[in-house]
Amino acid sequence: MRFVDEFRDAELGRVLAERILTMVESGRHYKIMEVCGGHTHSIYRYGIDDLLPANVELVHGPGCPVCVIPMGRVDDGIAVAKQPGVIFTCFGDMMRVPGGSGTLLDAKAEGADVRIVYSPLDALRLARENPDRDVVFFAIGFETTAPSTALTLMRAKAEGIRNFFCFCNHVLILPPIRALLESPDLRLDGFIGPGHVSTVVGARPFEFIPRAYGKPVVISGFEPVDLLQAIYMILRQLDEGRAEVENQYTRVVPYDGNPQAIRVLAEVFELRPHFEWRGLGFISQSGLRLSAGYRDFDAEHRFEVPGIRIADPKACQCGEVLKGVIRPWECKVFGTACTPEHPIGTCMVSSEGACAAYYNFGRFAREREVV
Amino acid sequence: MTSSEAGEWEGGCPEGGRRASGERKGGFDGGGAVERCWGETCITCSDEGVPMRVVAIGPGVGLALCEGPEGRRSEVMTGLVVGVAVGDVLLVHAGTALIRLEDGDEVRRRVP
Repeated sequence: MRFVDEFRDAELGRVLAERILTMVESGRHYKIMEVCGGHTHSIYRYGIDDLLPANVELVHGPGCPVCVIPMGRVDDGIAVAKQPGVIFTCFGDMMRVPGGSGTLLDAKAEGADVRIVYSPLDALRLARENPDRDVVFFAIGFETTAPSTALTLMRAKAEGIRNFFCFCNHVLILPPIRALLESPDLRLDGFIGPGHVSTVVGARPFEFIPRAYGKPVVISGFEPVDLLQAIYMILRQLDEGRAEVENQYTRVVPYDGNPQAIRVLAEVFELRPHFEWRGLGFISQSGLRLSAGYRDFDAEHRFEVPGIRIADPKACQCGEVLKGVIRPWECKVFGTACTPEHPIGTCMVSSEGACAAYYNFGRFAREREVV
Repeated sequence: MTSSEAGEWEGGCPEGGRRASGERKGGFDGGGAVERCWGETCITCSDEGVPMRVVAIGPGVGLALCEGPEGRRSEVMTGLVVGVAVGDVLLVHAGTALIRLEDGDEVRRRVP
């Protein structure tokens, strides 16, 4: 398909890998964080880190929407799913995320009506088809999926649908980046900025990173050539002593984002004072809830939600993986007690999670190295 | 050029790929059965952008029928993109078009 195939061109990738090699100083260790889980997935899928010099390390950030959901919110979702007459809907990965007392899949096995949907529009369709049932959509994701939830809620309101509810767990990408930059145990040289979040919010909101913290940001696409070019652009900024926001993904991302999407988000959502992130704790103004105009669609308003905070399992080091303090395979339970089939931590659940991405793609190369 | 031609990165899911994308057989099955991964993308949490081509406008206001990788078709909300027309390639996230691909600041910049 156009816009995809040309960015998988292996020859172009080799050229970029060679240019990257000429751009790094020997003796200096570079740590670059890709914020977005989609980038993490692409990096492992295409073996991007194998093409980089040994002193360029990619750190996997908090941009996987499933991975950052704390256990307490999963339990809250399960509590809603178990209410009589509820059809509870969620994206596929959320089914397997462990809460304090099992997963939504377990709840389904115990009789709750939990169903996978591919978009909130599917959930709304279910509400239309089942007027005598309450249909709840477990909304997760960053600024990429929040517009979809918002448009669906606007549609529900316009159609006068009264049995559709949203359990809102949408989060914003910038507050955790700011929290990471303030974290004393993290040393980063630059950021690969999230390509698709930027189609909504634009590249401009990332300008505080170079301005206040002196770190380059390059907004990147998701194909291998995109990522290699973005890494090259970050290294070039470092080499030239610059720190600014650059847009590698210009074929998709307008610098000022999509104003219509921003308007829709502002109408349907408002900021929560704080929201808990798995491994990162509570971050101020980092989560969204439904605005007053949409309170009738708010599952937390309609149903009893326990709202109990549950500490992550002690063995699980998802928090350190999300902060880039350790790499997936350095976690004590990686690949043994924690696998994609039986995940302990959320990073092993979603294919965008650093642990699952590494388990599925990267570990083979590492096993070869070890042998 | 297609992704199957020599000299390109190989995509696809690893053996035993567990991801929950897959063709929906008979539409919405409600049970989330995993059939197989399709094409170049695996949508697990639907937080993945998929380029899709508009094949028909409608069936309602703000909707379009779009075709994605391997010819998979689905209904997409288009309320965030102005003037969607048949043939446009849209970036779709969770059933919503976020942008028309040509709407980036420039079409492409290949080599730094």
